[in-house]
Order: sequence, then C-alpha cells, then structure tokens
Amino acid sequence: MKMPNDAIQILRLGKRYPLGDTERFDQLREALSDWISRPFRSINSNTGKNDGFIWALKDVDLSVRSGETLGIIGRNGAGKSTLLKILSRVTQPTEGKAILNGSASSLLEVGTGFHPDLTGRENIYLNAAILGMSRHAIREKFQEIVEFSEIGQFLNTPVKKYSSGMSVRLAFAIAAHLDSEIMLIDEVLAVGDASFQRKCLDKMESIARSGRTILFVSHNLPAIERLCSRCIVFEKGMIVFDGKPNEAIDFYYRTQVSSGDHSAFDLAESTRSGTGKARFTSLEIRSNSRHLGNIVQSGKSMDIFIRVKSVKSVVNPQIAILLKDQTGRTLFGMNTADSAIGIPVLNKDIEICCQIPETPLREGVYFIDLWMTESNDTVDYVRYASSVTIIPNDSSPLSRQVGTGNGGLIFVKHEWKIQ
Amino acid sequence: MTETQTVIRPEKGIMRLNLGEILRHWELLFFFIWKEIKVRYKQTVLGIGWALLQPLIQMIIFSILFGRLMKVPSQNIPYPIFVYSALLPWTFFSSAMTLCNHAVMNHAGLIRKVWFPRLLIPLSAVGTAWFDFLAALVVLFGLMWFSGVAITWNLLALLPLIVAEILLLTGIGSFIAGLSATYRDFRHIVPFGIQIWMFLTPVIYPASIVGERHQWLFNLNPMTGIVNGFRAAILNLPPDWNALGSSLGAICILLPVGVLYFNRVETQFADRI
Repeated sequence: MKMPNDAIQILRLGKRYPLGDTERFDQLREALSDWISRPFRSINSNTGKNDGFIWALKDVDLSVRSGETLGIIGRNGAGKSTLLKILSRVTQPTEGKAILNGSASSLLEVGTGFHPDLTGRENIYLNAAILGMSRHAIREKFQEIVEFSEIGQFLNTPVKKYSSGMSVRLAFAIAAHLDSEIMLIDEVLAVGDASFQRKCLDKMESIARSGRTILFVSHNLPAIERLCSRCIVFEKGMIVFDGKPNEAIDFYYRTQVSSGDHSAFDLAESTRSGTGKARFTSLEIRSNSRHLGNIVQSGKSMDIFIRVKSVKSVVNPQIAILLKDQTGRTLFGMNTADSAIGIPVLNKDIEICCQIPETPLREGVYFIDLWMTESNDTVDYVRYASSVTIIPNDSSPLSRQVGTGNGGLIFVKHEWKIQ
Repeated sequence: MTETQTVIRPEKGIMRLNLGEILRHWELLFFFIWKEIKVRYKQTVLGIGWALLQPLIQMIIFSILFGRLMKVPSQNIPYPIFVYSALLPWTFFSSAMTLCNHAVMNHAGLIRKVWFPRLLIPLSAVGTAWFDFLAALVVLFGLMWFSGVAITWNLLALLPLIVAEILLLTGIGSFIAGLSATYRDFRHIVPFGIQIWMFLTPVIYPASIVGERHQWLFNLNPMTGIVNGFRAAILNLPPDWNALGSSLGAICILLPVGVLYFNRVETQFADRI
C-alpha cells in the first residue's frame, strides 16, 4: 500500500495520440462512406492502420506527498503539459491510472474563460466558477481578488478594453485565491511585468507554505528553484530524473549538452515567416560562467551561435538578434549591419557567432528572436527562437532584482561617487 | 486527510456518466447561462427585446402569409394567436437546437484547458433558449388578452409540457452537440434540418389537416405532441392524447440516447477541436 498522505498517486500512466489523420474522421461524409464500404473491404487492407501513434506519456509512476511543491521541467513536447492535462481531467489517459486525494484545480493558462464583452467584475465570477469555486466562496474572496489584481477602478469596464498586463493580473489573482488542495499550474509566470511577476512568485510561495500540494510546470528555472521542494525532469514522455530542484536543473542541462547537437536549440519546428531563401537552423548560447545551456550569469559573457542553412543565394544579408522581455517588448537588438562583418553573398551554410562580453541583463527569463533581411525583404524571421535565463551574479549583488523589481531589466555598469 | 478522492483512468461508455457530478456543478450551469444571456444582450442593441421580437415578427409574417393570403384553417381561432401558441414551443426548440449546434465550438478554448462536466454545454444551451422562451411567454399573455382568448386553468397544463420539452431538447440537443463537434460538416446540415422539421410540425397549420389514416406517422415527430399540447392548453382545445403519448415515448428514448452519445464522444473533444 502507498502512504496514506500522498496527495497524488500515479501508476503506469500513458497517453497515446494518433499521428496524422489515421483512424479518425472529421467529416460525417468520410465516416459514413467508411462505414458503408467497411464490409466490402478485404481483411488485410487495414494493416498498418494502428502504428500511426505517438506516446506523449509512457509508464509514468509518481507519487506526490501532500503539501509538496513539485516542479516539472523538460523540453517542449516532453510530456509535461500532457501530464497536467490528464491530472486536470481535460483529456483521458490511454492506460494506467492516477488518484488525487483532495480537490484539484488547474491553472493551465492565464485568462482561459475570460469573455471580452463582460466586465472585470462579471469575469471574476465566471472565471472563478469555471475553476471550481462556489458562488459563496467567490463573494467571500471577491475583495481580496480585486485588491491583488490592482484593477480597482476598471472593475466595471469590459475586459476587451484591458491591457494584456491587466487581464493577466486579474486571471492570476482569481486562480491564486482558489482554495483547492491540489493546484496544477502550467507556465503562469511567463507573462506580466517584472514587479507583478515578483508578486505572483511571493503569492505562490505563500500558497506552497500553506500546506497545499502544487504541481508547477515552467521554463522559468529560477522560479522552479525558488518555489519547489522537489523537481522531476521529463524527456520523451518519461520521467528521467526525480530529486532536488537544483540537481534536476543541472541534470536537465547536462542531458541537453551530452546529447550532442541538442545543446543547440533546434529551430526546424519554430514558427517563422519570410521568403525562405535561407533558414536559421539552430541557436546555441554559451557562456564563460560555469553554467550550461541557456543559463547565463548577469554580467558574464553570452555567446550566441547561429547556424544558417542556405536555400537560394541571398545578396548582402543582414542578420539581427533581438532580446525581448517576458511581455514581448524588445530590449535591444544586435545587427550584423552594426559591425564590420559583411556577407556579400550567402550561398552556403554558415555558422556565425555574436559575442556579448558582459551581459547587461538582470535576473529573469528573456526571449530571443532571429531576423534575417535582404534589402527590405524578410528572409527568415523566427519569433521566440529561444529563451535565456539570467541568474544573479554572486560577485555583483546589484544584478539581483531588488525589492519590487523596479530596478529595471537592464543592468548598466556604473559607479557612484560622493563629490 | 481529505474526503474527496478522484480516480483518473481510461473509461468508456455508460460507466462514465456521472449525474451526481452534474448536480454538484449546478452553479456553473447557472453561470454559463447567465454569461450567454449577458453577452447576447450586450452585443445587440435591442437587448432582451430580441427574444420578444423574434416570435412576434414571425407571427405577423405567418398571419399575413398563411392566415390572410392562403387562408390556412385555424379551427375558428384568430390566426395570430393560433400560430403564436405554436411558435412559442417551436422557437424554443429551434433556438435550443441552433445553440447546441455551435455550443461545443464556442467553448473550445475552455474545453482544451479546464475540466467541467461537459454535459453542461448542451444543458446551458437549452437553458439559454429557455430564458428567451420565458420572455416570449410574457408576450403570450398580452396577446391572449388582446385577442379575447379566455385565460383559464387549462394554462397550468403548460407546466408539465414545458418540463417535457426541456427533457426532449436536452436529448436531441446533446445528440446534435456531440455530432457537430465530432463531424465538422454536420454543423451545416442542422439549420436546414430545423427548417424542414418546422413544416413537419403543426405550427402554421392545425394537426387535423393531416388525415386520420396518416396521423400516427405524423405523431412520430416528437414535437407534434408538444406543439399540439401547447396549443390545446392556451386555446382551450381538447388535448390530443395520442400525440402526447408518442412524444413522451420519444423523450424516454431520445433523452438517454442523446446524453449517452454526447458522453461517449465528449472524451475526444479536448484532443480534436
């Protein structure tokens, strides 16, 4: 028997998705014609019909103690979100089972269920009800939610007129005031301004301390390290590491590096636009700080290696790297046009590197866009090609976000003197 | 230790139907209906007037077309009230079906992200249509007074008829909601089907127009009994027990079939839509 104080017990859980269009019909027309022709088909014609599957999750065994804050990390498509979807009952597992002891609510994405035409007040009621709060409980927590979200005077304004920051604040405020015993949280901190993120982290820390069980999926590794007491790493639908958060993060980066080229972010699957005469194929970040992968210490070097595959020749291409904060605002960009290097004609695959000797960013998660142009045409533009996590520099405590995070995102080298 | 325990495992078929869970979420059902109504009245200039206007305009057009010009028999009752007494349950039916047809897609964002008993989707569509029905019911009393139709205790028969219609709509509505979500082309058939269905139902003409011999065939349509019942209760006509009985029989079949079908295909929604 399992320990009675387990909040979550997962036994050999698996989820299989069909690949492509096998064995499903989106049209009644197709389903009917399949059904009509079925008796006339020979038996051997359906061979190969069942192997078009992918296991998003396979043989997952896990128990989470009551009161534990479990971080879940892994690359995109590794199965983290699928696990949360199954636990929140959004989708059914294909095999295995999971037992949840206690009420559970999921906070899979901020703002799910907001209706743009309804006011902030109306949306608080609707959203809280969707997340499983009773009308009585909502009324009780209403004031607290409004205060936390800082939307005060806009309470009776339709949400469609809110800025994205405001809706995010409101959504997090509602979710943070749920009183369920198990909280399933997927990447909520990836939005909002720095000061509100800080507030969210503090709130989550207090939720974690209040004895509730939290499953927290995030790419924000510093947040994982700060909030979680335990962390698991997912790879290809399986748990490959289970232990202390800092060890898990180390493991995560070690496995990324050891699998050769995988230390570089593969851009083949990225959403992109442009003429396509050349393509960014990978992006890799190296640093002289002891950290691996996409972790860079504030003030230390950051070398961004980019591989470009040539499809057709591009005359005098310009390549730019844009660094963005979590709200999607560009903080600064680096363009080959700014430097002496010039590529007259790009007609073979190349690898270029952009070196930033002292990374001027404070603690946090940032995103990188890659952009290549030929005269005025965009050749290839990859949004959110990669993320980079900046961690504080031990020798320079100033790089740490202070107080409410009003210190800004950029860390400028400077000196103070008393005259 | 906490008292609530949830077991998640692959489940199929009838075992998945958990009516207790739906009852526990009645507040959310209320919120869904409330949202739907609120949004609709914010998006249209007429607001609640829309719910009243729709059957009224239909009544006026039908009265001119069928009552005046084509002289459709109306059992010696003024045609406007004759047709309105049937348009009342019919509009409830057609708007519930239209809402159910799009209900799952309209909730796609939620379905992909949050769990709630999915049956609340067709239920809230029926509930929203029911709200419009109540508004149209108020107009009915005004019309009865205006056309000099006596208001009698017979009107109380409307209560069981409304309950019966809600059950029927839940059954057919769940079925349609499940089909439209599973097969994308089904969505386009529904409006057409509703239109044809209206002409097969004694809305603009009296049921007596169909000869005795074919009455049973006519009664296979579950809406015949309901619409006849409404008309009989409002206009003090003798009820047609045969038609009513066959409607009740249809409800006993369609309600479980519709709900179970929806319940069966609902597991695929999050992965498909």
